[in-house]
Amino acid sequence: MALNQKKSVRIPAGLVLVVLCLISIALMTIWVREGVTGPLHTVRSGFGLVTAPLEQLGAFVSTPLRSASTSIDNMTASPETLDELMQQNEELEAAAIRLEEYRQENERLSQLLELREVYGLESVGARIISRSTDSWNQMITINKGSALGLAIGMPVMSPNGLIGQIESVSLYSSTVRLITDERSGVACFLQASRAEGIVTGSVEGLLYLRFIGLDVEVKPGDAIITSGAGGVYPKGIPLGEVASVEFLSSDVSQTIIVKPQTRVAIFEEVLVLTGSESEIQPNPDAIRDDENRLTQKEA
Amino acid sequence: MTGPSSPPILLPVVTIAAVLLQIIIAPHIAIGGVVPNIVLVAVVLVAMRSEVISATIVGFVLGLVFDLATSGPVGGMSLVMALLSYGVSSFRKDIFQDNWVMQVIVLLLAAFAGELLHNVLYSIIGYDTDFLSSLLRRALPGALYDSLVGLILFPILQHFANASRKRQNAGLLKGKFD
Repeated sequence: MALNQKKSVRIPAGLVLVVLCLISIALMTIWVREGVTGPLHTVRSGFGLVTAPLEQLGAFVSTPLRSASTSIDNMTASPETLDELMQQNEELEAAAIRLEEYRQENERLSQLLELREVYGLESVGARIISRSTDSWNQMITINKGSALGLAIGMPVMSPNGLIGQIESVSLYSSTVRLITDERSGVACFLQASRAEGIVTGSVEGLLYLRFIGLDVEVKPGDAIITSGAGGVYPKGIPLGEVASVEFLSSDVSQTIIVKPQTRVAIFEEVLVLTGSESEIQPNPDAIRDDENRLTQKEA
Repeated sequence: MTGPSSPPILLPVVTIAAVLLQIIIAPHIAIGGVVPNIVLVAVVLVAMRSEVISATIVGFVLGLVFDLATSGPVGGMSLVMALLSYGVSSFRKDIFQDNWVMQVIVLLLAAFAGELLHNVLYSIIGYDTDFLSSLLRRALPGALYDSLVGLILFPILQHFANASRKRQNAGLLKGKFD
Protein backbone atom coordinates (compact mmCIF):
# COMPACT_ATOMS: atom_id res chain seq x y z
CA MET A 1 0.00 0.00 0.00
CA ALA A 2 1.39 3.36 -0.93
CA LEU A 3 2.33 5.53 2.03
CA ASN A 4 0.65 8.65 0.64
CA GLN A 5 -2.63 6.90 -0.08
CA LYS A 6 -5.34 8.34 2.15
CA LYS A 7 -8.43 6.51 3.12
CA SER A 8 -11.28 9.05 3.03
CA VAL A 9 -13.84 8.65 5.78
CA ARG A 10 -17.26 9.84 4.75
CA ILE A 11 -19.51 10.84 7.62
CA PRO A 12 -23.11 9.79 7.02
CA ALA A 13 -25.43 12.78 6.63
CA GLY A 14 -27.98 11.08 8.90
CA LEU A 15 -25.44 10.98 11.71
CA VAL A 16 -24.75 14.71 11.31
CA LEU A 17 -28.47 15.39 11.48
CA VAL A 18 -28.92 13.28 14.61
CA VAL A 19 -26.01 15.03 16.36
CA LEU A 20 -27.33 18.49 15.46
CA CYS A 21 -30.85 17.55 16.59
CA LEU A 22 -29.50 16.31 19.91
CA ILE A 23 -27.56 19.55 20.38
CA SER A 24 -30.72 21.54 19.61
CA ILE A 25 -32.80 19.51 22.05
CA ALA A 26 -30.12 19.90 24.73
CA LEU A 27 -30.05 23.67 24.16
CA MET A 28 -33.84 23.84 24.38
CA THR A 29 -33.88 21.83 27.59
CA ILE A 30 -31.25 24.07 29.16
CA TRP A 31 -33.15 27.16 27.98
CA VAL A 32 -36.42 26.02 29.54
CA ARG A 33 -34.84 24.85 32.81
CA GLU A 34 -32.33 27.61 33.46
CA GLY A 35 -33.32 30.90 35.04
CA VAL A 36 -33.23 34.30 33.39
CA THR A 37 -29.61 34.67 34.51
CA GLY A 38 -28.59 31.32 33.00
CA PRO A 39 -25.82 31.01 30.40
CA LEU A 40 -28.08 30.82 27.35
CA HIS A 41 -30.14 33.82 28.46
CA THR A 42 -26.89 35.70 29.03
CA VAL A 43 -25.66 34.78 25.55
CA ARG A 44 -28.93 36.07 24.09
CA SER A 45 -28.56 39.33 26.02
CA GLY A 46 -25.06 39.65 24.60
CA PHE A 47 -26.45 39.00 21.14
CA GLY A 48 -28.96 41.78 21.80
CA LEU A 49 -26.05 44.15 22.23
CA VAL A 50 -25.03 43.40 18.64
CA THR A 51 -28.51 43.40 17.12
CA ALA A 52 -29.79 46.59 18.82
CA PRO A 53 -27.94 48.96 16.45
CA LEU A 54 -29.19 46.90 13.51
CA GLU A 55 -32.76 47.14 14.79
CA GLN A 56 -32.31 50.88 15.16
CA LEU A 57 -31.14 50.93 11.55
CA GLY A 58 -34.30 49.01 10.65
CA ALA A 59 -36.50 51.66 12.24
CA PHE A 60 -34.67 54.25 10.15
CA VAL A 61 -34.90 52.23 6.95
CA SER A 62 -38.59 51.45 7.38
CA THR A 63 -39.61 55.11 7.02
CA PRO A 64 -38.99 55.22 3.26
CA LEU A 65 -40.62 51.79 2.93
CA ARG A 66 -43.80 53.17 4.45
CA SER A 67 -43.81 56.16 2.16
CA ALA A 68 -43.08 54.08 -0.95
CA SER A 69 -46.74 53.83 -1.88
CA THR A 70 -47.11 57.62 -1.71
CA SER A 71 -44.14 58.00 -4.04
CA ILE A 72 -45.69 55.59 -6.53
CA ASP A 73 -48.90 57.66 -6.52
CA ASN A 74 -46.92 60.82 -7.25
CA MET A 75 -45.24 59.21 -10.25
CA THR A 76 -48.57 58.98 -12.06
CA ALA A 77 -49.18 62.77 -12.04
CA SER A 78 -48.45 65.04 -15.01
CA PRO A 79 -44.68 65.74 -15.12
CA GLU A 80 -44.99 69.50 -15.79
CA THR A 81 -47.45 70.12 -13.01
CA LEU A 82 -45.58 67.88 -10.66
CA ASP A 83 -42.21 69.55 -11.31
CA GLU A 84 -43.56 73.04 -10.77
CA LEU A 85 -45.55 72.25 -7.67
CA MET A 86 -42.94 70.04 -6.12
CA GLN A 87 -40.23 72.64 -6.56
CA GLN A 88 -42.34 75.30 -4.88
CA ASN A 89 -43.58 73.13 -2.07
CA GLU A 90 -40.63 70.91 -1.36
CA GLU A 91 -38.99 73.10 1.24
CA LEU A 92 -42.26 74.12 2.85
CA GLU A 93 -43.44 70.53 3.07
CA ALA A 94 -40.18 69.39 4.60
CA ALA A 95 -40.33 72.18 7.15
CA ALA A 96 -43.96 71.41 7.94
CA ILE A 97 -43.20 67.72 8.38
CA ARG A 98 -40.30 68.50 10.70
CA LEU A 99 -42.42 70.89 12.76
CA GLU A 100 -45.30 68.41 12.93
CA GLU A 101 -42.87 65.70 13.99
CA TYR A 102 -41.51 67.92 16.78
CA ARG A 103 -45.04 68.87 17.86
CA GLN A 104 -46.19 65.25 18.00
CA GLU A 105 -43.08 64.13 19.84
CA ASN A 106 -43.47 66.99 22.31
CA GLU A 107 -47.10 66.01 22.86
CA ARG A 108 -46.23 62.35 23.43
CA LEU A 109 -43.39 63.14 25.80
CA SER A 110 -45.61 65.57 27.73
CA GLN A 111 -48.20 62.80 28.11
CA LEU A 112 -45.55 60.45 29.42
CA LEU A 113 -44.36 63.07 31.91
CA GLU A 114 -47.94 63.66 33.05
CA LEU A 115 -48.39 59.94 33.52
CA ARG A 116 -45.26 59.76 35.63
CA GLU A 117 -46.57 62.55 37.86
CA VAL A 118 -50.09 61.12 38.15
CA TYR A 119 -48.95 57.71 39.36
CA GLY A 120 -45.92 58.88 41.33
CA LEU A 121 -43.81 56.49 39.36
CA GLU A 122 -40.09 56.32 39.03
CA SER A 123 -39.52 55.64 35.40
CA VAL A 124 -37.25 55.82 32.40
CA GLY A 125 -38.47 57.00 29.00
CA ALA A 126 -37.44 54.88 26.02
CA ARG A 127 -37.96 54.76 22.29
CA ILE A 128 -39.28 51.71 20.43
CA ILE A 129 -36.59 50.67 17.95
CA SER A 130 -38.04 47.43 16.66
CA ARG A 131 -41.05 45.13 16.64
CA SER A 132 -41.18 41.33 16.68
CA THR A 133 -38.64 39.64 14.43
CA ASP A 134 -40.81 36.49 14.28
CA SER A 135 -44.51 35.67 14.15
CA TRP A 136 -44.56 33.64 17.34
CA ASN A 137 -43.92 36.35 19.88
CA GLN A 138 -45.46 39.78 20.24
CA MET A 139 -42.52 41.85 21.36
CA ILE A 140 -40.97 45.27 21.00
CA THR A 141 -37.37 46.33 21.47
CA ILE A 142 -36.61 49.59 23.24
CA ASN A 143 -33.41 51.61 23.18
CA LYS A 144 -32.66 51.54 26.93
CA GLY A 145 -31.07 48.70 28.85
CA SER A 146 -29.31 47.70 32.01
CA ALA A 147 -26.94 50.67 31.69
CA LEU A 148 -29.86 52.83 32.84
CA GLY A 149 -31.03 50.45 35.54
CA LEU A 150 -33.62 48.54 33.53
CA ALA A 151 -34.16 44.95 34.65
CA ILE A 152 -36.17 41.90 33.68
CA GLY A 153 -39.77 42.04 34.87
CA MET A 154 -40.19 45.82 34.90
CA PRO A 155 -43.56 47.00 33.57
CA VAL A 156 -43.71 49.14 30.43
CA MET A 157 -46.39 51.74 29.72
CA SER A 158 -47.54 54.03 26.96
CA PRO A 159 -49.22 57.36 27.77
CA ASN A 160 -52.59 55.55 27.79
CA GLY A 161 -51.87 52.46 29.77
CA LEU A 162 -49.94 49.27 30.31
CA ILE A 163 -48.34 47.62 27.29
CA GLY A 164 -46.07 44.89 28.64
CA GLN A 165 -43.15 43.74 30.70
CA ILE A 166 -39.40 43.58 30.08
CA GLU A 167 -38.35 40.04 29.24
CA SER A 168 -34.67 40.45 28.49
CA VAL A 169 -32.15 43.24 28.85
CA SER A 170 -28.79 43.96 27.33
CA LEU A 171 -26.62 46.94 28.15
CA TYR A 172 -28.30 49.39 25.75
CA SER A 173 -31.56 47.74 24.76
CA SER A 174 -34.40 45.70 26.23
CA THR A 175 -37.04 43.38 24.84
CA VAL A 176 -40.60 43.82 26.04
CA ARG A 177 -43.26 41.11 25.87
CA LEU A 178 -46.56 42.81 25.08
CA ILE A 179 -49.71 42.09 27.07
CA THR A 180 -51.33 40.94 23.82
CA ASP A 181 -48.85 38.03 23.59
CA GLU A 182 -50.49 34.74 24.48
CA ARG A 183 -47.88 34.06 27.17
CA SER A 184 -48.60 37.32 29.01
CA GLY A 185 -50.83 37.54 32.06
CA VAL A 186 -51.78 40.59 34.13
CA ALA A 187 -53.68 40.53 37.43
CA CYS A 188 -56.54 42.99 36.99
CA PHE A 189 -59.94 43.96 38.31
CA LEU A 190 -63.07 45.46 36.89
CA GLN A 191 -63.26 49.01 38.14
CA ALA A 192 -67.03 48.96 38.64
CA SER A 193 -67.43 45.66 40.50
CA ARG A 194 -63.85 45.25 41.84
CA ALA A 195 -64.01 41.60 40.69
CA GLU A 196 -60.51 40.23 40.18
CA GLY A 197 -59.27 38.24 37.20
CA ILE A 198 -56.34 37.72 34.88
CA VAL A 199 -56.00 39.45 31.53
CA THR A 200 -54.22 37.23 29.03
CA GLY A 201 -53.17 37.73 25.43
CA SER A 202 -53.97 35.42 22.54
CA VAL A 203 -52.75 34.29 19.14
CA GLU A 204 -55.22 36.58 17.39
CA GLY A 205 -53.91 39.59 19.34
CA LEU A 206 -57.05 40.02 21.46
CA LEU A 207 -57.05 40.39 25.23
CA TYR A 208 -59.21 38.16 27.42
CA LEU A 209 -60.20 38.76 31.04
CA ARG A 210 -60.61 35.36 32.67
CA PHE A 211 -61.74 33.96 36.03
CA ILE A 212 -64.58 36.45 36.54
CA GLY A 213 -67.45 34.56 38.18
CA LEU A 214 -70.87 34.22 36.60
CA ASP A 215 -72.43 36.18 39.46
CA VAL A 216 -70.50 39.34 38.58
CA GLU A 217 -72.36 41.81 36.39
CA VAL A 218 -70.15 42.89 33.51
CA LYS A 219 -71.13 45.50 30.94
CA PRO A 220 -69.36 46.53 27.73
CA GLY A 221 -67.36 49.66 28.40
CA ASP A 222 -66.45 48.74 32.01
CA ALA A 223 -62.90 49.84 32.74
CA ILE A 224 -60.25 47.23 33.56
CA ILE A 225 -57.26 48.24 35.65
CA THR A 226 -54.30 46.45 37.17
CA SER A 227 -54.91 45.09 40.66
CA GLY A 228 -51.30 45.10 41.81
CA ALA A 229 -51.64 41.48 42.95
CA GLY A 230 -48.42 39.53 42.55
CA GLY A 231 -46.28 42.64 42.76
CA VAL A 232 -45.39 42.69 39.08
CA TYR A 233 -47.49 45.65 38.00
CA PRO A 234 -48.44 48.59 40.21
CA LYS A 235 -52.09 48.94 41.11
CA GLY A 236 -54.43 51.22 39.18
CA ILE A 237 -52.88 51.33 35.72
CA PRO A 238 -55.54 51.32 33.00
CA LEU A 239 -55.38 48.34 30.70
CA GLY A 240 -58.54 48.50 28.64
CA GLU A 241 -62.28 48.20 28.71
CA VAL A 242 -64.78 45.41 28.26
CA ALA A 243 -65.61 44.91 24.58
CA SER A 244 -67.92 41.91 24.93
CA VAL A 245 -68.81 39.08 27.30
CA GLU A 246 -69.16 35.41 26.42
CA PHE A 247 -70.13 32.39 28.51
CA LEU A 248 -71.97 29.12 28.22
CA SER A 249 -74.32 27.73 30.82
CA SER A 250 -71.72 25.05 31.58
CA ASP A 251 -68.95 27.59 32.22
CA VAL A 252 -67.82 28.42 35.73
CA SER A 253 -66.60 31.85 34.76
CA GLN A 254 -67.18 34.49 32.12
CA THR A 255 -64.86 35.05 29.18
CA ILE A 256 -64.52 38.75 28.66
CA ILE A 257 -62.97 40.22 25.54
CA VAL A 258 -61.01 43.34 26.37
CA LYS A 259 -60.41 46.30 24.12
CA PRO A 260 -56.85 47.41 24.95
CA GLN A 261 -56.32 50.96 26.14
CA THR A 262 -53.21 51.20 23.99
CA ARG A 263 -52.49 50.21 20.43
CA VAL A 264 -48.75 49.66 20.52
CA ALA A 265 -48.46 50.04 16.76
CA ILE A 266 -49.08 53.77 16.99
CA PHE A 267 -46.57 54.55 19.73
CA GLU A 268 -42.91 55.34 19.38
CA GLU A 269 -42.01 56.16 23.00
CA VAL A 270 -42.75 54.30 26.21
CA LEU A 271 -42.12 54.56 29.93
CA VAL A 272 -40.41 51.78 31.84
CA LEU A 273 -41.46 51.74 35.48
CA THR A 274 -38.32 51.28 37.52
CA GLY A 275 -40.06 51.83 40.87
CA SER A 276 -43.13 53.38 42.50
CA GLU A 277 -44.69 54.15 45.82
CA SER A 278 -45.86 50.57 45.91
CA GLU A 279 -42.31 49.29 45.38
CA ILE A 280 -42.41 47.37 42.11
CA GLN A 281 -40.56 44.14 42.55
CA PRO A 282 -40.09 42.13 39.38
CA ASN A 283 -41.52 38.69 39.99
CA PRO A 284 -42.35 36.84 36.79
CA ASP A 285 -43.81 33.82 38.59
CA ALA A 286 -46.21 35.80 40.70
CA ILE A 287 -48.89 36.04 38.04
CA ARG A 288 -48.90 32.27 37.66
CA ASP A 289 -49.37 31.92 41.42
CA ASP A 290 -52.28 34.34 41.26
CA GLU A 291 -53.78 32.39 38.41
CA ASN A 292 -53.55 29.17 40.41
CA ARG A 293 -55.07 30.87 43.44
CA LEU A 294 -58.01 32.12 41.37
CA THR A 295 -58.47 28.72 39.74
CA GLN A 296 -58.65 27.12 43.17
CA LYS A 297 -61.10 29.79 44.24
CA GLU A 298 -63.29 29.07 41.22
CA ALA A 299 -63.15 25.34 41.90
CA MET B 1 -22.04 20.95 -6.69
CA THR B 2 -24.14 19.78 -9.53
CA GLY B 3 -27.28 21.20 -11.09
CA PRO B 4 -28.28 24.52 -9.64
CA SER B 5 -25.51 24.44 -7.05
CA SER B 6 -24.38 27.70 -5.45
CA PRO B 7 -20.93 29.05 -6.20
CA PRO B 8 -18.71 29.31 -3.10
CA ILE B 9 -19.04 33.05 -2.67
CA LEU B 10 -22.83 32.92 -2.45
CA LEU B 11 -23.18 30.86 0.71
CA PRO B 12 -21.73 33.37 3.19
CA VAL B 13 -23.39 36.25 1.32
CA VAL B 14 -26.81 34.59 1.41
CA THR B 15 -26.59 33.58 5.06
CA ILE B 16 -25.35 36.96 6.31
CA ALA B 17 -27.87 38.83 4.13
CA ALA B 18 -30.71 36.64 5.41
CA VAL B 19 -29.87 37.32 9.05
CA LEU B 20 -29.51 41.05 8.44
CA LEU B 21 -32.78 41.21 6.51
CA GLN B 22 -34.54 39.29 9.28
CA ILE B 23 -33.36 41.72 11.93
CA ILE B 24 -33.57 44.97 9.97
CA ILE B 25 -36.41 44.61 7.49
CA ALA B 26 -38.70 41.72 8.52
CA PRO B 27 -40.25 43.42 11.60
CA HIS B 28 -41.33 46.35 9.44
CA ILE B 29 -42.99 44.34 6.67
CA ALA B 30 -45.17 42.22 8.96
CA ILE B 31 -48.75 41.81 7.77
CA GLY B 32 -51.36 41.28 10.46
CA GLY B 33 -48.70 40.19 12.95
CA VAL B 34 -47.21 37.67 10.54
CA VAL B 35 -43.49 38.33 10.13
CA PRO B 36 -41.79 36.70 7.13
CA ASN B 37 -39.11 34.19 8.07
CA ILE B 38 -36.39 35.28 5.66
CA VAL B 39 -33.84 33.03 7.35
CA LEU B 40 -36.03 30.00 6.65
CA VAL B 41 -36.32 31.04 3.00
CA ALA B 42 -32.53 31.30 2.80
CA VAL B 43 -32.10 27.90 4.45
CA VAL B 44 -34.43 26.24 1.94
CA LEU B 45 -32.76 28.09 -0.88
CA VAL B 46 -29.30 26.92 0.18
CA ALA B 47 -30.56 23.39 0.79
CA MET B 48 -31.90 23.18 -2.78
CA ARG B 49 -28.41 23.89 -4.05
CA SER B 50 -26.14 22.14 -1.56
CA GLU B 51 -24.94 18.75 -0.47
CA VAL B 52 -26.85 17.20 2.43
CA ILE B 53 -24.20 17.58 5.14
CA SER B 54 -23.30 21.19 4.41
CA ALA B 55 -26.97 22.13 4.01
CA THR B 56 -27.86 20.53 7.35
CA ILE B 57 -25.02 22.35 9.13
CA VAL B 58 -25.96 25.68 7.50
CA GLY B 59 -29.59 25.12 8.55
CA PHE B 60 -28.58 24.40 12.12
CA VAL B 61 -26.28 27.42 12.39
CA LEU B 62 -28.76 29.83 10.80
CA GLY B 63 -31.52 28.45 13.04
CA LEU B 64 -29.37 29.07 16.08
CA VAL B 65 -28.69 32.63 14.99
CA PHE B 66 -32.43 33.09 14.41
CA ASP B 67 -33.11 31.76 17.92
CA LEU B 68 -30.67 34.22 19.43
CA ALA B 69 -32.05 37.14 17.43
CA THR B 70 -35.69 36.45 18.26
CA SER B 71 -37.60 35.67 21.44
CA GLY B 72 -38.35 31.97 21.16
CA PRO B 73 -36.57 29.18 23.03
CA VAL B 74 -32.94 28.77 21.99
CA GLY B 75 -32.54 25.52 20.08
CA GLY B 76 -36.09 25.45 18.69
CA MET B 77 -35.51 26.96 15.27
CA SER B 78 -32.07 25.34 14.94
CA LEU B 79 -33.76 21.94 15.29
CA VAL B 80 -36.49 22.86 12.81
CA MET B 81 -34.09 24.29 10.24
CA ALA B 82 -31.61 21.41 10.51
CA LEU B 83 -34.46 18.97 9.79
CA LEU B 84 -35.78 21.10 6.92
CA SER B 85 -32.34 21.48 5.35
CA TYR B 86 -31.75 17.76 5.58
CA GLY B 87 -35.12 17.03 4.00
CA VAL B 88 -34.86 19.52 1.16
CA SER B 89 -31.21 18.81 0.32
CA SER B 90 -31.98 15.08 0.11
CA PHE B 91 -34.04 15.72 -3.04
CA ARG B 92 -32.35 15.19 -6.38
CA LYS B 93 -30.91 18.59 -7.28
CA ASP B 94 -31.85 18.42 -10.95
CA ILE B 95 -35.56 18.63 -10.16
CA PHE B 96 -35.02 22.23 -9.03
CA GLN B 97 -32.91 23.36 -11.96
CA ASP B 98 -34.65 26.22 -13.74
CA ASN B 99 -37.96 24.97 -12.42
CA TRP B 100 -39.50 27.88 -10.59
CA VAL B 101 -42.75 26.13 -9.90
CA MET B 102 -41.01 23.22 -8.21
CA GLN B 103 -38.80 25.56 -6.17
CA VAL B 104 -41.77 27.56 -4.94
CA ILE B 105 -43.81 24.44 -4.16
CA VAL B 106 -40.95 22.97 -2.16
CA LEU B 107 -40.44 26.30 -0.37
CA LEU B 108 -44.16 26.50 0.48
CA LEU B 109 -44.21 22.94 1.80
CA ALA B 110 -40.94 23.39 3.70
CA ALA B 111 -42.10 26.69 5.20
CA PHE B 112 -45.38 25.16 6.32
CA ALA B 113 -43.61 22.11 7.73
CA GLY B 114 -41.17 24.38 9.54
CA GLU B 115 -43.90 26.55 11.06
CA LEU B 116 -45.90 23.46 12.00
CA LEU B 117 -42.92 21.82 13.67
CA HIS B 118 -42.15 25.02 15.53
CA ASN B 119 -45.74 25.08 16.75
CA VAL B 120 -45.46 21.50 17.95
CA LEU B 121 -42.20 22.30 19.78
CA TYR B 122 -43.87 25.22 21.57
CA SER B 123 -46.61 22.88 22.74
CA ILE B 124 -44.10 20.21 23.86
CA ILE B 125 -42.00 22.58 25.94
CA GLY B 126 -45.09 23.83 27.70
CA TYR B 127 -45.71 27.21 26.12
CA ASP B 128 -49.44 27.84 26.40
CA THR B 129 -50.48 27.96 22.79
CA ASP B 130 -53.80 27.36 21.15
CA PHE B 131 -52.51 24.83 18.61
CA LEU B 132 -55.26 25.12 16.02
CA SER B 133 -55.42 28.88 16.24
CA SER B 134 -51.62 29.14 15.91
CA LEU B 135 -51.76 26.86 12.92
CA LEU B 136 -54.39 28.90 11.13
CA ARG B 137 -53.23 32.35 12.15
CA ARG B 138 -49.46 31.91 12.10
CA ALA B 139 -48.19 28.73 10.46
CA LEU B 140 -50.31 28.89 7.30
CA PRO B 141 -50.11 32.64 6.62
CA GLY B 142 -46.44 32.53 7.61
CA ALA B 143 -45.72 29.80 5.07
CA LEU B 144 -47.55 31.74 2.35
CA TYR B 145 -45.67 34.92 3.19
CA ASP B 146 -42.34 33.06 3.20
CA SER B 147 -43.13 31.67 -0.25
CA LEU B 148 -43.89 35.16 -1.48
CA VAL B 149 -40.54 36.37 -0.15
CA GLY B 150 -38.95 33.36 -1.83
CA LEU B 151 -40.54 34.33 -5.15
CA ILE B 152 -38.80 37.69 -4.89
CA LEU B 153 -35.48 36.33 -3.67
CA PHE B 154 -35.12 33.32 -6.00
CA PRO B 155 -34.60 35.26 -9.25
CA ILE B 156 -32.20 37.69 -7.56
CA LEU B 157 -30.13 34.87 -6.17
CA GLN B 158 -30.27 32.94 -9.43
CA HIS B 159 -28.97 35.99 -11.26
CA PHE B 160 -26.01 36.32 -8.90
CA ALA B 161 -25.40 32.58 -8.96
CA ASN B 162 -25.28 32.56 -12.76
CA ALA B 163 -22.98 35.57 -12.87
CA SER B 164 -20.71 34.04 -10.27
CA ARG B 165 -20.65 30.70 -12.07
CA LYS B 166 -19.67 32.39 -15.32
CA ARG B 167 -16.79 34.11 -13.57
CA GLN B 168 -15.79 30.79 -12.08
CA ASN B 169 -15.83 29.11 -15.44
CA ALA B 170 -13.69 31.89 -16.85
CA GLY B 171 -11.13 31.06 -14.22
CA LEU B 172 -11.57 34.25 -12.21
CA LEU B 173 -12.79 32.45 -9.13
CA LYS B 174 -11.48 29.25 -7.66
CA GLY B 175 -12.60 26.92 -4.93
CA LYS B 176 -15.32 24.56 -4.12
CA PHE B 177 -18.63 25.18 -2.42
CA ASP B 178 -18.58 22.29 -0.02
